Amino acid sequence: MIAERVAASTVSEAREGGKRPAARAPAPSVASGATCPTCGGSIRINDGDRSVRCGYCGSALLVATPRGVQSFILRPKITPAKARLAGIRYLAEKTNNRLRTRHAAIADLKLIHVPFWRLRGRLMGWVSGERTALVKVETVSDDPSTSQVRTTVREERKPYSRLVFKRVDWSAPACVLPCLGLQGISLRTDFLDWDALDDRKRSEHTIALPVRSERRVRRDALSFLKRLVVPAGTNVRASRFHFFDSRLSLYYYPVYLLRYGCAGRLYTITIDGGNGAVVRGDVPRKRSVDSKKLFFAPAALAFLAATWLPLVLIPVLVLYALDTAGAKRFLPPHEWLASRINGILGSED
Amino acid sequence: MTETLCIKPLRCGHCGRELPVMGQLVTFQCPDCSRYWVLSRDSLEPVTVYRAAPAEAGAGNGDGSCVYLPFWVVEVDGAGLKIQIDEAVKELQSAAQAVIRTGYEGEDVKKLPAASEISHLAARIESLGIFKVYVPAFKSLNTYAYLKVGRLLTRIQPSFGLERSDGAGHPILCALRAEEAVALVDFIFFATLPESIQSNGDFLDKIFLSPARPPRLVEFPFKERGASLVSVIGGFWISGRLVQGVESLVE
Repeated sequence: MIAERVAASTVSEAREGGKRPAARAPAPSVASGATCPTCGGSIRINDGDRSVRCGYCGSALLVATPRGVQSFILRPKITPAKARLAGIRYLAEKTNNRLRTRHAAIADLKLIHVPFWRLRGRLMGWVSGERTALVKVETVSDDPSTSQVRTTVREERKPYSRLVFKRVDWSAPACVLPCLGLQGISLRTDFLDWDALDDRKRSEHTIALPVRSERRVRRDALSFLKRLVVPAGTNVRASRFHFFDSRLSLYYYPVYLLRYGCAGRLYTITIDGGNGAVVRGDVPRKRSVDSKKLFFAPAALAFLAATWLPLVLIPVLVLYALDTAGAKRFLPPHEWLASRINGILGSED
Repeated sequence: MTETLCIKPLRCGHCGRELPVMGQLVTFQCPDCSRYWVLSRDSLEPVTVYRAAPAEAGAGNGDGSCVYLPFWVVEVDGAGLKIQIDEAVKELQSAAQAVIRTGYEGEDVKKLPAASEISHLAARIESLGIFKVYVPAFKSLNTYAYLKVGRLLTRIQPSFGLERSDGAGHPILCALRAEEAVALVDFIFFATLPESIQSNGDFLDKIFLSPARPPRLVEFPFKERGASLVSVIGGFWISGRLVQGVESLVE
């Protein structure tokens, strides 16, 4: 049996002292939302399986390519009370216990299932272009009498091409939620117990609607991955990519949005409904007093108050000394001052 | 946006017997009538599975047991491919001449691959008549295995005999659908080209391989040599770890 031979080859390899073949991570099993056509039982399907056996009647079933997009939902693992507690703790921690529940009034706590697009599959492609690198070039002067070496920086372009073949697991929020704080859920999806989202579950939960279309998501994912496979400083001249074995699905992840009011303003704290961690939170800023302003402004005023008299007297004295020296005789100060004032204001004579 | 999986009873389209569950594999063999079926988009289609036999008698009869790995063999018309190559070169040449006339040298200047390499490639493809691209269909832990094994076989273009594989109790380890294999043909062909041509994006961008006939599912024999698998046809070797054992795929 060929199947046994391949299995045996990997086993014998391990026995012979070679490294153990990399263990395949158990494929996450999800309730597909589909039912067995023979007995009507719910079917759980491992990721990537094309044929399964019904867990109830034992019928062999074919899993054909799903039409459209499959949706999954995760039930929250924490209760609203725990989410509220996590929010309050976060608030106290972030404000150094300055702000507590007695200062902030909790307006509401909502459980929302936020949609995330997830694209899995394999990407094969080819990219070609030019890679730009800055190269330092040292040139010796032509004049033999001088041994001057000039260093110049030159832009050098080298042809670049690469065949790309990689597994893809990409996810991104499917809706615009400024206070969400989650960028993707690829890792979470493998370890959590997701249920297929059907009409009944849809009516039971508050779910945010995806705003990005399937086509746009595929385009976004492809452009993101293209950027990922091309190193910085590469001018791509041509590329061709193909996603295959790909599965696009929507995952509705639970988050609690805790809104509270403080000093006439509303703030939001986002709590992960899966593990109770605060993923993002707004806290009122403490009215801080600028110590520089507190010190420098009074110091400048004090300096001016202490020095305004000498600052006026010194120029007057210098002017008086100059005039006395110019006249070569002693000028009575009051007469000199009167003549100066007359000179500035203008005499009536 | 429909959100239901298409679940159907897994039965032989000929005799109605329940087919064995194969996990992630897409080919099934009926235990009663020994017919092979392959999963197409949302149904099972009959498929003929071939087994490659070495062209020279006696080759590959050495020690060690054989492991048969499936490949989709996509046949491309060599003459058509040569025409594409000639046209691409002509287009790039005219673009380059236009650049010389205008004296402009900017980033958009189309570059030509080395003429000797192109002519060698075109001559080889033309001489073959039918150019075969081998797309690995087995499941692999290492995604580069597809590229490596496919590139090696496509580069060698081995000659071999074909015999129908229809023995009972002989599952095929195929995890790739035929339409997916056709979509990968371009990339495997590009991987076989010399590096100077591979790095010329302007040239490759104009090459599209289209199959001359539907792809054929062919099993190629590999011999176990320690931790490696040595191809009986072609003589190259690959690491045994590249091929994912079916123990984790089949129930």
